Amino acid sequence: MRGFAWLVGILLLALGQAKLEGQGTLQFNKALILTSDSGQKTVPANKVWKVESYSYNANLRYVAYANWGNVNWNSSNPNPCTGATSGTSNINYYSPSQCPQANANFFVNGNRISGTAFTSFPLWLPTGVVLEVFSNPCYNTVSFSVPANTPVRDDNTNAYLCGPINVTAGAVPNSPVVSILEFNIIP
Amino acid sequence: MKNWLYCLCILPLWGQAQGTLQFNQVLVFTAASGQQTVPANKVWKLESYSPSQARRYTNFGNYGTVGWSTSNPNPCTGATSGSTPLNYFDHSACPSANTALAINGQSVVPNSSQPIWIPASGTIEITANPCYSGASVNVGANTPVRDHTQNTYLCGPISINAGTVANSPVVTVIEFNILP
Repeated sequence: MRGFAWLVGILLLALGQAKLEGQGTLQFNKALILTSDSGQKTVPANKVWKVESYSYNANLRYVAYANWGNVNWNSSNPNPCTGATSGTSNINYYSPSQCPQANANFFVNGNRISGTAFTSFPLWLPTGVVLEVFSNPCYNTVSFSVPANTPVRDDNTNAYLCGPINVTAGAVPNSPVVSILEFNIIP
Repeated sequence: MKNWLYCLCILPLWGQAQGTLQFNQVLVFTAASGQQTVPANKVWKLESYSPSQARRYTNFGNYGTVGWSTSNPNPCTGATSGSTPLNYFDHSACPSANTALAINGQSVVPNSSQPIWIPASGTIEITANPCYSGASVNVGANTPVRDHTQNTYLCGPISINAGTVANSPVVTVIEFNILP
């Protein structure tokens, strides 16, 4: 009986060893978001990074806000706050434009790999690889507040919208967003 | 002795259980959700972003009498002859300007790339424009009506209430627990 227990024990040990021999498996460690605020990042020792996605920035910069004048509401252009198809409102307008995307880049070991399109995923990156996201500064030149239930004209899209809309002059976040999974390499 | 051997054997299995992701729940976010923050010891996987296709209705009234034919059959019976006095309605897309998806405060081009994995304390926020229907539309069952915007004839029932129209993109997220 004692001999049998030893035999079972050795068999179990062998199975455990088989598990240990499954070297080089990847174990989830954490998710990371990189933006241009992250600076230069290096894949740490004993880790591997999987770049899952690269989302382009969509932010707008607001450059004008002033009175637009009277707008007549009708069935093809209803009041955006009430749906009314008749009547007139004196409204303001704002002018936005896309924050500049030129020079928004994603570098791997100093190589620029994002261009007008970047759809080659995933990117598997080993220890020591250096990543960096760059973006252009972007600024709103006006501050304005459109109160709730107040129509306003979006001069960029020729659309009439309903407040509240609040914009503050100054820097606008303008970075691409890179999504990464970090794995431990289990020896 | 046997217990000691057993412990030796399962140690490697314990090691492998570390750092795995365990499904916790599915989340759906809209503009009404406000800013959402990934909880501690969780990770979110943003799987999809569906833009709003909401319509606002602007008119509902009498259109007059319509004659049915082979090229324009009665939508409720298929009849290709006869005529019916009916109503019409107009509609248009809810405005999408200023609709945005922000990840950690960065407004990104939706669907430019996915999935987006967001770690604990990361944020998601959707913004959308208010949208309003100015007309209520009530078409009875088996009653023809003209969709004036689409230049087509439909069959009731169709019920639209004037007032606020839900106009948000819909984002789906999977939340995982991080098992230590």
